[in-house]
Amino acid sequence: MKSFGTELKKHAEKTRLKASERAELRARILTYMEYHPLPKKTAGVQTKPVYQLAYSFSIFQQFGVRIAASAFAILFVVVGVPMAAERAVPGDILYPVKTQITEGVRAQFVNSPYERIAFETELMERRIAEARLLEKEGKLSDEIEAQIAETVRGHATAAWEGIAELNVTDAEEGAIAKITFGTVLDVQSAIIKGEGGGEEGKGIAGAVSSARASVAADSSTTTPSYARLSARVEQHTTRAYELLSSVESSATAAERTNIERRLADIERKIVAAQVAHEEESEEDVTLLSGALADIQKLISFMTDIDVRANVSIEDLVPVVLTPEERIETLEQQLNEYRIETEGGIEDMSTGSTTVAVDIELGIEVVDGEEEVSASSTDTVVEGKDSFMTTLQSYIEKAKTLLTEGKVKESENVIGEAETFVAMPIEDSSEETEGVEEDVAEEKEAN
Amino acid sequence: MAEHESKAKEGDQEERFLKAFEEYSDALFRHATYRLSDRERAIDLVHDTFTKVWNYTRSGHTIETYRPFLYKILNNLIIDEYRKRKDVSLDSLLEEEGTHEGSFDELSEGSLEELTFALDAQKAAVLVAEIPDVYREVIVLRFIDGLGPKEIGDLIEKSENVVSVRIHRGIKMLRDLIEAQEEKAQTRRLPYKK
Repeated sequence: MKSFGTELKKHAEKTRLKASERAELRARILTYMEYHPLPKKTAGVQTKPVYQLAYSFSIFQQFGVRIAASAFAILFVVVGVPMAAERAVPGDILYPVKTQITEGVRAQFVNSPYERIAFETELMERRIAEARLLEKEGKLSDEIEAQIAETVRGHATAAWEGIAELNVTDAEEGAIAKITFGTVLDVQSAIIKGEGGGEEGKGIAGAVSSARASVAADSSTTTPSYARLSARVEQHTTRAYELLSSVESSATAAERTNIERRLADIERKIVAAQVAHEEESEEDVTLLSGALADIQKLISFMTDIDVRANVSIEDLVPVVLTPEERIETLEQQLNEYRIETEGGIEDMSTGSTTVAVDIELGIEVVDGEEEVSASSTDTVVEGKDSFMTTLQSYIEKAKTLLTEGKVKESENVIGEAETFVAMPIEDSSEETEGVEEDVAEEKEAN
Repeated sequence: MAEHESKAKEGDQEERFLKAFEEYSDALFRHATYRLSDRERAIDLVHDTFTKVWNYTRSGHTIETYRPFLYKILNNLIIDEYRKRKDVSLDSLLEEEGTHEGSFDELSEGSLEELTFALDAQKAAVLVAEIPDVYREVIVLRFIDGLGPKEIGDLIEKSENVVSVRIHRGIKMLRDLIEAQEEKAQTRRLPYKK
């Protein structure tokens, strides 16, 4: 009688891989080996993808993989390689597949000059993102960064040349492309700054800043037409709303509020541009250009993880206060002044400040040096009162205009009120000192 | 010249690795199937075992003997798999062992030959899935994979003594299960007996 061990082993041996399972498993492992080859001793020399494939086929032949496995491998080469290559970074074996094959094929499908600029801009962004990835992994040597910076410069130049070409054939489209390109550079520059920035003028940071400089230095005065700009803004706004609804479930309440607020600000800018356009004001295009840049930045914020990681939404697209909010701020300031005045006049500044305030208000200065030099409490109260009265009247005027639907006029009044409130204290103290000196001099003269 | 040598070495490494696949894939699959009772998952784990070993080679290591290394990795993957399965808590399984597993008393109760005498291997092969994995692990390694107690000890990082105790207990459990099953079958047949 056979031992238990032998019997059990014999029985267990019936459990084995089927021929098809075995072939498939072997094909999976061979594919894995193909895409994770042994490191080459000749560092720095990137293996050509063609060689890589030939090499893998030699393994296939050597071990006689069946037709099913070959079909699997071919499918993998056609679909899997470009997909896998998309994640490659400089130095990876598949990187040339990404830059030369995948992107090369995509380049063939770029038709219009505008698309070409967008494509070059995208490539520039991709190269910067790759550098960022390498840096995170601690693999970004100075040499690699210099190489990437050179490529970034190349794409930036190509994009910029595309814009110049477009300017000749279609100046308006060229102007829109310039706004788009400028925004991308702004965003990239903000990320670099957010990361602690590279060395000024060097590496990728240098490449980005020199591209920004050429955009800023461009003297072409063509502005896009309102209609075209409007169409582009519409297109991007729709995309932004789609993106927002797609991240609805994953974004936090605060993130959603932040994005919705920016979208509302942009919508207001668009409305303001429409009003300006109806009034035939030239501001319409400026306002829309601003809205286009904002919406693009917002889209980058929603779609690019690097942007979110390094730049706050407020830095990228600052909140634009509504007239109502601005009035509210002014009212708060007015209240603060009121509390200060009622709370303790003794603590308040001297009479000379009152004079300064009155001078700035353009209100008739309290008459006579005696009043001033007396520094009487009454004068302080009087000066504060005038300040508050003026601010109050500004606020009321702005509110009335707003109720009448005269938003622009209301905003002008708010602007004046803000300037009035923001009168720098240093200035007033200078003037105060001046007044004090004058008073002293006059006293001496007497 | 150096490049040729390096290529030859690379080729050699690939060849050895693929030879190991040819040689051990079935055994590893069998082991995984007995441990997990899930054929598909077993194939996946064998795949993961080989890719892990390949990555180890890629990182510049040379593997002298493939078999223990492959088993070690597969065993770790199986333990991970148990951790992932919420219904089976590895801790509770380990607790079952108690603290006195190094005891010689159980070993002296009888030799393995005595213990396995007349034990139905066919039934044991099926019922091995029913016993806790700490025992199933050693039973599969000992009887299905044919590893010696020392090899098993090295693999699961336990002393040979612990391994032997576990094998004994595992066999006892199997024997009990088989007996229980036979009793049950007999009880079922009884009503028809006159």
